[in-house]
Amino acid sequence: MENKVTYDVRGSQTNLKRQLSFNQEGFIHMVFYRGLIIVSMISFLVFLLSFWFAWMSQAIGYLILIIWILFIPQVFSFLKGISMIGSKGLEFGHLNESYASTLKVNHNVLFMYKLVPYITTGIFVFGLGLFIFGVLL
Amino acid sequence: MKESWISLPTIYMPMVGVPILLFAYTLSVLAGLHSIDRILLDLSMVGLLVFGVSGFRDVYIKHWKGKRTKLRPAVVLNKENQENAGKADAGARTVKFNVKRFNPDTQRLEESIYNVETDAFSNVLDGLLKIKTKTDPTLSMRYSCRMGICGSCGMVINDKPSLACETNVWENIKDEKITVAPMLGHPLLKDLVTDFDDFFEKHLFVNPYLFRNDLGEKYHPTQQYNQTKEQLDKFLPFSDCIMCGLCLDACPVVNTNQEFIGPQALSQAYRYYADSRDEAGKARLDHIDLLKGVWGCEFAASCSDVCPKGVDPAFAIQLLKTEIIKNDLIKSKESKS
Repeated sequence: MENKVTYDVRGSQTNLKRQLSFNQEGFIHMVFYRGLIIVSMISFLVFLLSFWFAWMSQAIGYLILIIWILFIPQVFSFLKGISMIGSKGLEFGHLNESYASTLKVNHNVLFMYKLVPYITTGIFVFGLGLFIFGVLL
Repeated sequence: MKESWISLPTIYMPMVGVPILLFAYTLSVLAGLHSIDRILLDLSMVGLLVFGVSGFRDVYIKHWKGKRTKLRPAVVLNKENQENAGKADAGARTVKFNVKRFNPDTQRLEESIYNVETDAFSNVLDGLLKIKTKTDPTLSMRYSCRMGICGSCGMVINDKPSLACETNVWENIKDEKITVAPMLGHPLLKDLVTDFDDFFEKHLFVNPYLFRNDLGEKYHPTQQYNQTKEQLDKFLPFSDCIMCGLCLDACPVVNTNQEFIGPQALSQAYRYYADSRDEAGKARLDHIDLLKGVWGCEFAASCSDVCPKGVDPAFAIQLLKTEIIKNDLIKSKESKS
């Protein structure tokens, strides 16, 4: 019997960009998450170093600004997940239409589930504004 | 330590802990509460460290385990086929098909361009079959039912994983052409054909069948396992999976880490966990409480975007995560009492 020879291109971080054509939101979420991990660790190092080098404490402010921006898609997708679970997949979910329509008849889904991610992310973005104008500047 | 507890910082620390701490820090600075703003900043930084280390383990360490192979850039090898150009009947239209075929000898995607006569009801699979029968018999693809039930003809059409038999040609023409490529989220075999061995291994990993303790009933059945409407609703949408593999191809985690068992298998894990007839219970949750299991999911929800049957694997995985956390909390309460 002939051996099956396969060629596997999985495993590279550059494959993330395959999502760009059909799920931009998911792409941003994934890229920002990876950036956030690196920036978080750098921030803690800078924070530690600022005990010895006072001039570094200013850098923490700018790092927090970057972290805040990188957190926005994470906060949104976390709340989207919560809304999805709370609404049995009817909000932000992709359940098939026939099932979803019968579910809607049998269950009352609160309209709040649709709004919560947007409202909370809005508050978070407002907090970013407060941080920039109230603390950083 | 259980995987769920190690992974918690990446789920709850960034989404709840650190943002709240940063917000509180900003408010305390604005309110002039100098006694607590320093403490809040310190806590934020410690939270960031915990999140960073946990996330690093989550994203980077698991990816180092996998081998990384890059596909060589695509080349246009075949000259454009003009055979059918200008011969369209009334009501028909000639559409350019750019087919990116994987050549196992050169390990390259080779782009062949074909002109195919189509009508308003033609789907991409019809077009490919016309190419195979009339123009190029060497073109390889996998297909069977031609009506979106068997899940064999999964491929990437205009950069989106789709079923060829369910994608209308005229509705999807982009820049005067249709681009077809194999699913790169699976190992490649030839042309548009991908290997599903790994996919079915992952599917088997979650034990996709009902566990029953009443073995006597299995061999000498005496009753039916009736279910109420509510019991059926819990798992019904997840049982529609046709195993086409589109969700795995779309999943960014599968694309960056072969170890992750993927959205299809996990959605089936939930499908059997939620089934009232199944008696495996919490053992199913423990089985997938792994970094390569539910905790590998980063919730990009691409799997649900491309699922042709509305199974919503991303939703199933979030439900599994919730069930695992609930289960752990109950266990820790019980052990304390």
